[in-house]
Amino acid sequence: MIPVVISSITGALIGSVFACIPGLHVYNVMALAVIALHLCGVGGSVSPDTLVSFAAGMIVGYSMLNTVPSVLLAAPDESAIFTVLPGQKYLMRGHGYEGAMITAAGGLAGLFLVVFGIGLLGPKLLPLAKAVLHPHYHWILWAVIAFMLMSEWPMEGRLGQAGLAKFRAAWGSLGVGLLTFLMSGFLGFILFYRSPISIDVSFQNLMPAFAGLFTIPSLLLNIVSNVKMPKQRRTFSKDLDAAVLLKGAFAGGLGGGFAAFFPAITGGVGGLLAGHATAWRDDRIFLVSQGTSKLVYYVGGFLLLFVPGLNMTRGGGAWMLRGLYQPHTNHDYYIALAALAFAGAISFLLVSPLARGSMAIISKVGYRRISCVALAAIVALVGGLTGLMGVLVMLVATGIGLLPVLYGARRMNCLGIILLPVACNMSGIGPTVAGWIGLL
Amino acid sequence: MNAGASQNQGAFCPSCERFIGPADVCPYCDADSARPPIMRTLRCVSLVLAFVGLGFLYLAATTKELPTQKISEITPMMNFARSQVAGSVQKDPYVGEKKGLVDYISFPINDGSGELRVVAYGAVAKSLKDRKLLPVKGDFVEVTGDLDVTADGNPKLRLDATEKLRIRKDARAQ
Repeated sequence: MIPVVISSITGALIGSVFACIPGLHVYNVMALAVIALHLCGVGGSVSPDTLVSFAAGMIVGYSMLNTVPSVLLAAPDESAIFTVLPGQKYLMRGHGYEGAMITAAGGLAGLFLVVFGIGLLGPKLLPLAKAVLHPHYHWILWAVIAFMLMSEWPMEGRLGQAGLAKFRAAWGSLGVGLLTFLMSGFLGFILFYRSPISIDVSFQNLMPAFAGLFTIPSLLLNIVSNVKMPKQRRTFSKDLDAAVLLKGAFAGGLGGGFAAFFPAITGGVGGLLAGHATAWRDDRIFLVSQGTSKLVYYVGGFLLLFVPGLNMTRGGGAWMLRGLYQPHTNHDYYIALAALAFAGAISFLLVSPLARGSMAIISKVGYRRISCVALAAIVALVGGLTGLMGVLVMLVATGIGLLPVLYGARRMNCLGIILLPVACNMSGIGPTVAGWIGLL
Repeated sequence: MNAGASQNQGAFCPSCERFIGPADVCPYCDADSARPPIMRTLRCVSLVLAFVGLGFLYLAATTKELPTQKISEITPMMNFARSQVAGSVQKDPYVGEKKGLVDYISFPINDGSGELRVVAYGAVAKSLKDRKLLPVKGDFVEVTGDLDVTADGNPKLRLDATEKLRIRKDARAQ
């Protein structure tokens, strides 16, 4: 039992620290570890209990602490001041620390849902849910795509006189949203069917594209827009009551659970659906729900690999672990649950010191420099893992990822990279579509 | 929300001072917004980069030859790889059925260096059976599909189009 505790805590510490580095994803770090294990030829000699608990620790640490850069490094540029997310509002008011802590409280609630919800009921309910829902995955996925695209609203064109100019302005951002979805979907088809990335690292096939679509645009904007973080207070106003926590956890649990269970749906899409379903308009509820949703999505998805009788792999962490060890006993399941609980406790305790530390570093070094270092790190990581072709894919993806940011559309449209190919594949038309566009 | 005048200056028209949000041109007086010029440059650069880059990537992808992969050299890091393998069929294909319909088809192949299971699901499996395209034991086949590699050391290749299974009767004796 001691190796499980030690490796889960070590994993949580590493995952938590890496989570505070903007742009770095835990799956990138796990990929480096997987490659190192394979290159050293020791992949098979590490005890499965150690491997499982270390991976679980890293994922919990990341999903709990990822809150810190997502709140503290998300200052909007001045023109977006009226369309900012609640986390950004907290930051701009000088309450970034409080925003991070509220989101982390949501993460802790999410961990309770995973350990006591999926942990106790999962083996009974999830195989049944899979049997019922599996034949319907494809149309559910298309419905989610339709909702995602149709629920976008025009950022411009709501003001001024009616007429063609206003119509064009309104459709400008909506059109860019659709264009982003289609272009990232097309990129997804290329990477799924004819990836230019070396076959030797194809388990990281989508990583350069994700870095380009989601990470680099934010860092570039931080660099060029010269945003400054307002002076932050390091106190907690204690207005997070049980009702807010429960409402947020319910919404986040719905969204994160949906995203963890259904293929190709991410935590962001799950959060969007849950937000519309519950329609609570309180910033604190939103922050709690984001924390819960993120944790349930990452950690719950990882745990599905271990649920006895389910046979389901969701999320990059589970796919990578599956290449090293294939869980198949109840023992694995309980080890994973224990590791998640240990790691969750440690990670939550780390939120406050790491948030304060990050604020100190940001105020001392500045957004621009931190973003430059993070940009250099992500380019080096992509280049190191996937080579020159990976960097080229990342550049193309950056071009697509910048479109919604610069033209005022939802960044979620970039998820077309997995939603479109997977929805087509699940409907049985993926190869046909790939054939039409000359990729088969 | 009050982040100071300097923070929200860009959300208002510099000419008529009305709120214009993220718009580049004021919808009331057509004046340019006070957004930094670099943002407009970035807009153009991103659009060009996205279109041209995607075009070149597409050309690179469609002209790429898929090399034949040696089965013994498949590692877990090749998971999801689009790959081509060639070898002789070791057993007659197994046709799995669910409620009387073809659910999946599976058969092992060996290329001399190792063994791999080829699997086709759903419509592809049904099409292979209906069109009598299934190989038999001893046939030499070339198959293109996605690798599924797990830690148990039994890699699978998922066939996703019937035309990606080529049976070479002439090579059967080999």
